[in-house]
Amino acid sequence: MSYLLPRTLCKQSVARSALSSTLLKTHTPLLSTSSLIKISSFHTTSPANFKIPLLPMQPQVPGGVIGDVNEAFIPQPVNKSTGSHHWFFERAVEISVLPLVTASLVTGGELGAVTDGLMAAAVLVHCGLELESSIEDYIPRRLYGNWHNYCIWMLYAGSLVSFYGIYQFEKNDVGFSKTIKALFTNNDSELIKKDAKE
Amino acid sequence: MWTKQALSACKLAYKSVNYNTIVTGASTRGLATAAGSASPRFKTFKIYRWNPDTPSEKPFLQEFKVDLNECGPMVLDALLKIKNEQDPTLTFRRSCREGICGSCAMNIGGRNTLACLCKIDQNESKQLKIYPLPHMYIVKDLVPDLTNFYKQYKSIKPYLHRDKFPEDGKEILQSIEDRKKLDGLYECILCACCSTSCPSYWWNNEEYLGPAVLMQAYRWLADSRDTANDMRKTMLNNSMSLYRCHTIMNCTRTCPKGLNPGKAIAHIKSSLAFN
Repeated sequence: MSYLLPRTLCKQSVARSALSSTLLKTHTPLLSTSSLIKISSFHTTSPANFKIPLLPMQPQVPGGVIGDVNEAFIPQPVNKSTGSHHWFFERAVEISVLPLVTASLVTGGELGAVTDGLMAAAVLVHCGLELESSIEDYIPRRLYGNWHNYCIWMLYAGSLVSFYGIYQFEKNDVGFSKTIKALFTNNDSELIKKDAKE
Repeated sequence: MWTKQALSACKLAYKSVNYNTIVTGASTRGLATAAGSASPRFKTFKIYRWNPDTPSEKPFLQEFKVDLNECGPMVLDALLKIKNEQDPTLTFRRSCREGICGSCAMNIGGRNTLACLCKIDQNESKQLKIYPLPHMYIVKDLVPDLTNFYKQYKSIKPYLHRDKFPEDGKEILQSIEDRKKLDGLYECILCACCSTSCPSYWWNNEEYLGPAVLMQAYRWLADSRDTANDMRKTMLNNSMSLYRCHTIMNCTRTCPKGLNPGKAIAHIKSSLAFN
């Protein structure tokens, strides 16, 4: 019966709560399983309305309700590295990005490779953390199982490659601040000089 | 059969009331007196309907026209009028009609609020759409299933935890300053308007506790008489329970009681980080 109940707005979940499924029990004999599936396709709120394409989904508990209706919800076990420490780290990176970006804006990219690299790295970590947050929100382990972990690993791998890219860019090229400045001022003499040397 | 009898009894009562007003003097108008001969002002209400008895029928918006001259000022008055006079199958929760029970929480004109505290826009050319609370499973019409919400509330153990009680067996004293910390927290009526307005709660309500429950978690964290702070903080310290809050602040914007769940969540976050 879980397919039958609509959900305002909508989402991927299949489920129904114990409360309403008991309300609907009287109707079960009238409908076969095949007709249930057909019926579910009538609803604007059918189960598959929000789903990441290509990723297989885990079967869901009806209504997201685990156990009896009178039992308390059981939270996840304590994990400070994804909880309070993670939050603190996020804020620390955000705050450190501010002066670094401001400094390179004010000086116009004359800070040197180390500061420029630090700024790029801080922005990268900031973006990485926010992307990780998006993965937690939209590809949660509850719905996508191991694909959640694969996404996180892909993010970490991509971040590592980007760190190496930043290192290479600072070592062999003009750096980020100057590149961005050149984009805005249309003054690519610096870049041309660098290319001419090589 | 009994409904017919009840209806005729109501009609009788209605007639007698009219009779009384005529006897006591039609010239005196009170606040409760109908507006008289003014021409009817029909406003259109579009209400979300879905019936579990006919589950194969798609949910739809049903149109009702209500004469605003004959109707009370609040949306709940209009809903009751529709249920009384036009369609007795219209289903919604209501109880206190004064914003203290939190039963009639619904999405009115795109905003989660209590029907009993929401005034009807007197511009009858504009229609008003009424939906149940967003992204909840629906039991019928405007009645959402709050099972998960109550289970989450239960999980934060919303009652006093203490190691030692006063030896005289009397009340646990609290300073005026400490009591003031609970203002803006204890008034919450758990209508679920804020939780169901939160996008993060829409996506992850199976694991994220939502603003209403988190504010109550903070209400007990902030209470000077409660000594179970560590236990309360521990259960929130994972990636899902608390930290799915991204300070979207829909909760504070929508709260029909004017409370600030977003601020309470910020307090919890800082108390967890700087423990």
